[in-house]
Amino acid sequence: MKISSVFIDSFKSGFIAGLPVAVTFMTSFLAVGTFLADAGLNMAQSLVMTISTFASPSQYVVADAIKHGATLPILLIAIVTVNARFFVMAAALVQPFQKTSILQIMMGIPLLTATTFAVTVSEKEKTKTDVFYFFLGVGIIGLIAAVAATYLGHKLHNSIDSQSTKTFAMILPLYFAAQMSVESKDNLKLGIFLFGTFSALILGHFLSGGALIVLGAVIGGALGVFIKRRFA
Amino acid sequence: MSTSTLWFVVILSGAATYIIRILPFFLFRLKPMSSDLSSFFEYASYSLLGILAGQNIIENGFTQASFIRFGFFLLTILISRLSNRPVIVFYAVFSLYFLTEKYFLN
Repeated sequence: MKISSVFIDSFKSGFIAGLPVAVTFMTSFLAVGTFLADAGLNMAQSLVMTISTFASPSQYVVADAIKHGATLPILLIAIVTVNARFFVMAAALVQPFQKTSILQIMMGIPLLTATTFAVTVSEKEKTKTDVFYFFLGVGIIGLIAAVAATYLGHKLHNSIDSQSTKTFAMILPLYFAAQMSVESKDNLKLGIFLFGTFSALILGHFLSGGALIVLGAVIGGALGVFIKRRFA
Repeated sequence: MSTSTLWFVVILSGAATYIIRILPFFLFRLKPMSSDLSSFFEYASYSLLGILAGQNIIENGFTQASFIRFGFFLLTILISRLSNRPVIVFYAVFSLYFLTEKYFLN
């Protein structure tokens, strides 16, 4: 009884912590719905893509590739490159999800996005919370918002105000910043997070999105390990 | 593209993304990672989150709007760090940013 109440409380906490995530997803997936409609996908295809892929950057890339008549191998390479970040994030969750069964993880892992990850890692240090159920709470409210927004974006694809979309795009960096700045007392994590931000600001002009993600992750990860070993 | 090809693309996208997400659990769950590799992935993921935040801040190059967005980003870190109330700080700073964008940047 006690165990199940921990799960329910963790899920509820995740659901509440996921509310700002839901607002972010409402705006980003509104644009995804519009993009997918413009690329020629019907409503059912757009909704199935949001449910199964649940990654707005990847969905933008696919929509763009379809528009420009990309071949299937090129599409596959694009999907793998853009989504490579999930490999790193999932690898970072192996340890916190150690007590969860692999079957549960297999069912819940489609909810992994950069945002659900960011909110979850900020919670993993709190001992009373079941990290997996917290993650499910964040992910489910996010997915509901994403599906609703994809539907709306597809339906209203000719009348979305791009300025509002830009304004709400700032929810993501501000929310990440707030979460990361209090994520444990480890200054190194915040430092590496800021390293990533500055890399995007400085190198964003010279590198493609995929190259920046791969390079930034590898250098950021190596830098973190180096500093930790040197100064631990 | 035909409807059936589009369906294939939708399924391909979902399947490829799912495999990328689940793969680390099969690779590293039974044979645990070394402490260095585990730290590497952890720091790499923080770096990635920073990159995603940076990409949203800069959007179309160094404009006045992107500098203002960066200012709000730093402000969020500073106040969250001092107050230890990330969610409240997020709502407060975003409201301020929303008003700035609405009344001063357009």
